[in-house]
Amino acid sequence: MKKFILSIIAAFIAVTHVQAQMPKVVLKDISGRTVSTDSIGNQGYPVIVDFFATWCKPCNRELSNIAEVYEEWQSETGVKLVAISIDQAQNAHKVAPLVSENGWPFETILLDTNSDLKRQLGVQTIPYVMILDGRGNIVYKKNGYTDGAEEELIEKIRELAK
Amino acid sequence: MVKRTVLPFFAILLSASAFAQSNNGVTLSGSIQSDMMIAPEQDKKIGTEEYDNNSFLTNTYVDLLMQSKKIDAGGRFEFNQLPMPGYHNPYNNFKGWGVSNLWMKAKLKNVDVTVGSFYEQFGSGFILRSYEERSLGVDNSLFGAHAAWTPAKGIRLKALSGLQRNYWKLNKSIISGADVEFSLDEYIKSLQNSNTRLSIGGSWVNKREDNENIMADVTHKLNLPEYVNAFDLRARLQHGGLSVLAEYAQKSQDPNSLNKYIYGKGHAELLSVTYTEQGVSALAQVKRSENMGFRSMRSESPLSSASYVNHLPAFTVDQTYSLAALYPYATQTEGEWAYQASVGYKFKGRYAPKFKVNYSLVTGLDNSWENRKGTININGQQRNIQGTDGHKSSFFKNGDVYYQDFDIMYEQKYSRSFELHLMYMYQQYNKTIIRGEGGNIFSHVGIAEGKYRINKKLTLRAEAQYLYTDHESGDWGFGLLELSVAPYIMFTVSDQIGRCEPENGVYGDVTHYYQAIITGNIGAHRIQMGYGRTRSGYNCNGGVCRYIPASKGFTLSYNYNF
Repeated sequence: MKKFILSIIAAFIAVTHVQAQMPKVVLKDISGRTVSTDSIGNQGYPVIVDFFATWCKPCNRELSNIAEVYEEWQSETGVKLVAISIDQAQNAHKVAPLVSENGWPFETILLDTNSDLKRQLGVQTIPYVMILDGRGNIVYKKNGYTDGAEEELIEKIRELAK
Repeated sequence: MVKRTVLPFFAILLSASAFAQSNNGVTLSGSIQSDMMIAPEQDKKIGTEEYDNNSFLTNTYVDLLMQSKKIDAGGRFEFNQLPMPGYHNPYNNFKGWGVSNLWMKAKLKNVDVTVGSFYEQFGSGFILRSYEERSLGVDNSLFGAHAAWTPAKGIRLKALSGLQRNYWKLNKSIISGADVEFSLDEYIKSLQNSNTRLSIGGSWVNKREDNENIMADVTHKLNLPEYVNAFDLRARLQHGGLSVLAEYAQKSQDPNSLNKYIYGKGHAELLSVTYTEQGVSALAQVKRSENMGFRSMRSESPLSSASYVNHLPAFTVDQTYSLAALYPYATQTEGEWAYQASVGYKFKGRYAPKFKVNYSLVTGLDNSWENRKGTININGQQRNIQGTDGHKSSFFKNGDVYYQDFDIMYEQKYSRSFELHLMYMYQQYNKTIIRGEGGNIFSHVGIAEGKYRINKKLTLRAEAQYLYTDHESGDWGFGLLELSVAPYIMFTVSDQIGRCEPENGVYGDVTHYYQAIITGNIGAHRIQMGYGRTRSGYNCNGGVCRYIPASKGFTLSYNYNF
């Protein structure tokens, strides 16, 4: 009986996680384009959504570490990374310089200047990473960053590709 | 027995939510954040507060969010009855518990309508920004109604009206406003084709507040405006790597406790230019603001961080190393000129070095001192500034230096396993202006940070910092060691060394402010346990600062997102 209940719970937790998708929040990217966050996708391939800020050291370490292996990750799994800055509006102009100084190769960098998307997703502290599967479902969430933890991320993405 | 009753209860709850999800596309999500201090200790040396034996302090927040195709709803429960050191003070009403935030949003075709608590920002926040920053104990959300409308591609309209949260009550004044933003590049094909983005925007905010009895002097009562209006205009142009933002804001007569009840108008100007290409960046920004403190309660204490309708963050570099952030700047609302410039360059190649130079300068306006003194000469008579327009400023004149910092950073990765960061900073901090007394503090800060990757699992990071100054508490040193065990655990030990808090104006002995922390990041859970001493000081984020008293003890932090 206990096992039965536990497995039901496990199944429902799994359902909860599979069902959640990106909410709709209208943001600007660093090149000035308007992006609706519910349209974030990668043509059937997974997406990494990474919340960061210019002043957040662990966030910058995480993005730099992923940047180093990004090409390999992309050719292996087709994954794409969408970075979301939560810098406030009067600092949002510092995001593009940070990206180019670090040579980060990520295609999409969004500016969530009043934390609207962050709030919708219930994110409290950064760094914060989510993985979306090929259908846009949020399948994994990671709170905080430990040096080297990007290996865990790519493992999760490899599992999706199976 | 308990387990048996609890398990089915959760099973029913979960199955109900899963059923709802599979049928109507409803998702339930939320988060828990709890910062705790267990049995805080008294430590005379560092000047902690006095606590009862075995006391327990916590700031705890639980957020719940329900989302569906047409309707979203959410709320927050806060338990801050036993707040962490420094959150509750004589100027605010932080202490309390209950439901602090409740809202429902209808998502119609092109319109989203929210009733209840909401957050919003117009432009750069010069005239309106409601936001939450838990590390500062700030939540100035509005409670009322909000609508966002997208009538056509590239046009976004917003309108709102509500009362502002002031901890456990709502301020009585009514804040209303509207904002429109056009993305012209969505219409003009030639702009799109040349990779140019152009957007313009404008907003208006109104505060309606009842009159009250505030005396200019013994016999004269101030005739306070019932309505305060503020406007904001802005334009942003982006072409290739070039980005330009210009913004102007103005506020009508708004005598309040921050500006000593003067009747002069407020205004702010911002110009920001950045240029980036792969490996290169340049930024130049200038901002002038005068009398732009805009609050939903005119008599709110100048020392409280509550009741701000707008947001004027410090226009300086956000320093993140502990000693570089020892003397943080905060915007002076009576008026200032702020300049920032930075250049970054990364040489080509995987193990090539990277350099960055920053300079920030903030000065007063030429009338700042006079306004601070609080008196004015009218027809040969020296009188209180209250009820007058205040001293006039001349637009381009600078007053005293409030703050400046120059820093140069070097970063290089030498191999796959070793990385080095070096930084030098020169800083001038006008403590008299920023904290009321203390004169100018000139300091030099040197920082070295190294990261060594031992193997795939283990990474060691170390920081050494030194602050040199002849002023205030003198030199400070800081050291940190952090071992990361991927992907879950981090061990951190640090020590900040310098003279402890002054007694009768004389700084005390050299004291160790040691900390030991273990952090676990497991999926959406984050747990942090620590023990150590915290120095009294200011925690600043975006120009808002919170005083933190000295403390010592065991801390526990838990954060979960589901």
